[in-house]
Amino acid sequence: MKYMGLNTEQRYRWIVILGMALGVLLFHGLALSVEGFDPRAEGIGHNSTLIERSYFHEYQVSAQPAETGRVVQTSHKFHTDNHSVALWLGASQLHTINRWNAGDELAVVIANKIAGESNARIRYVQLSAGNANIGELLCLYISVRAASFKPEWLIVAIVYDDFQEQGVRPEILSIVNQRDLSQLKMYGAGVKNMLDTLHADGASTTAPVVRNATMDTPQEVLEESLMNVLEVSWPAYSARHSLAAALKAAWTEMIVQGAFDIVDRPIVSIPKEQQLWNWEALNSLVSLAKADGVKILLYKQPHRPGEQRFYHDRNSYDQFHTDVQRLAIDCGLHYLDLESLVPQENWGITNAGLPDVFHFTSYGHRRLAQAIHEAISGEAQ
Amino acid sequence: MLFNSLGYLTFLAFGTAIHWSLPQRARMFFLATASFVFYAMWRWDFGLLLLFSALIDFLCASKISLSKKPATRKAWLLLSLCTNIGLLIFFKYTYFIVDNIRSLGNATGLDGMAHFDPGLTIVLPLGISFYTFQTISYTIDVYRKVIQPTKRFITFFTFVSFWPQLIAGPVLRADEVIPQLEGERKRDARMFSSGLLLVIVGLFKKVVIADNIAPMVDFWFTQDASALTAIDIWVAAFLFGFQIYCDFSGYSDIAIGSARILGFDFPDNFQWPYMARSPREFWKRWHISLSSWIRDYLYLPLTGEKYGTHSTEGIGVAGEHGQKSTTGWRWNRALILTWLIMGLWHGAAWTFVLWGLFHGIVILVYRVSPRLQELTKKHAIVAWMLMLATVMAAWIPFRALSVEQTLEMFARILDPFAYRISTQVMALSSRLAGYSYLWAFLLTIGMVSAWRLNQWREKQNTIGIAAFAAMTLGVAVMVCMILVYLDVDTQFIYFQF
Repeated sequence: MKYMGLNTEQRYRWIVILGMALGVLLFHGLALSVEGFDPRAEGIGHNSTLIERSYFHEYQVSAQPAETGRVVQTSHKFHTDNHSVALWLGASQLHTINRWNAGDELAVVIANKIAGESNARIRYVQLSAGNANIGELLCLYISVRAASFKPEWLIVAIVYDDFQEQGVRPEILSIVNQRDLSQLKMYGAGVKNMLDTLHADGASTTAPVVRNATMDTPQEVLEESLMNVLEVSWPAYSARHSLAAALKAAWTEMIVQGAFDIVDRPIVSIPKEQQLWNWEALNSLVSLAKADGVKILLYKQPHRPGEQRFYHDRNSYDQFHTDVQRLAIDCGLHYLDLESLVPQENWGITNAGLPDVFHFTSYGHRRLAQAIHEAISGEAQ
Repeated sequence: MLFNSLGYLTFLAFGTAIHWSLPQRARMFFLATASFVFYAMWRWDFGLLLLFSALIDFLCASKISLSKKPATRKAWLLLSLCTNIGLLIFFKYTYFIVDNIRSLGNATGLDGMAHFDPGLTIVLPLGISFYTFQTISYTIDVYRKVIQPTKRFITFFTFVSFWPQLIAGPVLRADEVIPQLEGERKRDARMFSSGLLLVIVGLFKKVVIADNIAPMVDFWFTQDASALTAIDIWVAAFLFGFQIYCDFSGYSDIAIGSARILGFDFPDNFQWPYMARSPREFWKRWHISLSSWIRDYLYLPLTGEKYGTHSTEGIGVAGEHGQKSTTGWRWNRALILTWLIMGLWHGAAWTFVLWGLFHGIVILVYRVSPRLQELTKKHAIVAWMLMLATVMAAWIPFRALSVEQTLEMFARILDPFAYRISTQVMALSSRLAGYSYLWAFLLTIGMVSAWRLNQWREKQNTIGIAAFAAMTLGVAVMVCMILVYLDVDTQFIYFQF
């Protein structure tokens, strides 16, 4: 049947030809329109900026697990310069600044500045990972120890939410080795759990889809050359990662916002049995650090106060922190309750425009740094 | 060379231009050379292995055809089979065998076995499972006198190494490809545009859908299975089901599309498998060329029944023509054995054997249960839902990291008290967890909608303006998304087989 002078077969042909041309134009227009979009938005987003590494003078004092070695290097340097070192472990609150502006710094950097200005001997280094549970923090401590470094202080941010997360992510598990863990078995069930995880995850990297599939093949050279040519000759192509990030951010916003529109954030209560794995890890971490002669400070992570509904079950939340405090007293550790340290106006919003209950602004980091340094320099009186 | 790369698109563009600009007689040489280059872009030395495998089968098939003595014919067939299966066992199963010897040694306390180390480092040649099956089928078909062997090695080598189907199929028969290679192919705008569309659809399935689902699947399968809820596990199974479908059918689409651009007509390898209402139907729709291969060279010969000769209709068609019953001991034994081998072909691990066994048992249950057969006929939607859930559950051992994880996951989905929404989703504490639930739902709905739309489209005699605009826009969005996500960081799942 003829229509527009084309029969059905010809129309199919034109669909492909026009579709391809239009697709390229669409890509060109979209990519150029978001050329300046920061791909970091793929992480937490514009409003909460993830700071992967931070420096005090020229030394890296904050890192993600993969760069543990760099923080250890800094720590050795601090020791050489006759400083004592506090190793600060925690989750994303430590490496994220809400409503970030150029020049904003993490608490660990500010704490070092305060220490430097007041001629205190103490220096701070930090290792953190998003949603890190205590098992993962134990792995971080063991890896630091395995690199022949023992800090004078260990600061641990206690996050109620993360006590529901079990297991160790491969990127963190990969920084500890079986030999180190086997030698530490006497430090309780937490270490044993890590060993079990290590055995169970021996094959966990064997996901069917192999990453960097062309690595070390002739095709890798071809791909790189073609990509370089395209990126140089077609500006839109070099902006494709920005477009991917923008699409992801838009999708996230739509979904997260949508989810909040449909349902209220549910009240979370983490059953005690679900916390057990992390409690065992915390006990092992405390035993190990104490055996190393390290002083320990546990603190209750600041939480956004104010208008929004407190989404944890308040009783369970308080009971949990009472238990942590009791552990601190029983084991002779230092404990700080920093729940209401950061005022409501110093918390930002998430990428989806919702109240962020985990990450605060640079002022919040300043408050945290001051509180921690005061506690350490005053021996957490 | 990976299909999901700029390199391949460039290779295809230049390859097509050169192919069609050459005179007919030179095209075969060009395709053979280009296919070798395509393979050598991964490892040139394994290209020699491909050449060796092809040479052996060409020789054996010629000798079989020339000989009248059954014993001589059989001897040449055995040489071909031993060479191909030997290569496959060596490259694919050595580590698996060594691991099992060690496990046996540990279990029995035999130190020599427990520390057995052949001192080998083996790299699995890309596509070996596919091209060995293709060459085996050629020799067997010559032995069975289904086909006459080709007299020119270049023709046979081009059949084996033809790039669109070299790495991950479809596993085609000689009489489906060789006549097209030897015959005259003319430029055909219809074939060209439909081939191009298939390449676009295939790339979209792979780089936009499968690769974006992958992190969610990885997330669930690296969790402690005992801490997951039954719903989490179903979500993980569905997502992996969609990932592997989009990954592999995407590959097949690119393969068939590329062949069409070059003037070859290959049969479909997937036909809406997740819309099947019974296991028999599923295996007529999923990886049809492999399933047909297994039917003709393994399953039916084991039952003593007549085999087919084409890579169409799949294993599900077995037993439909001429057999009075498919439920006897002979059939059941052949069925289970076939599926164990099918599982092992997919991967050298016990989890794949479990996957095969699962499918074998499901087929058996459907065979012996009149109720299930009736359900398939009378209650199509219920039968479809049951089959979809069964097939998705079967992917658990396929993707799980160990047998223990598989069993734990199965235990969870069989536990009625484990049916609750994950706290990770409820607390919105893990973005991937929440997305997974949403995507599993959206993809299921999307698949059914796409199937209905396709049914509607097939019934239309013409394309109206609205449909023209919608389809053009659909192609445009796919092309745009491919440009955003095209990346060689990931390979196709089926490359490991």
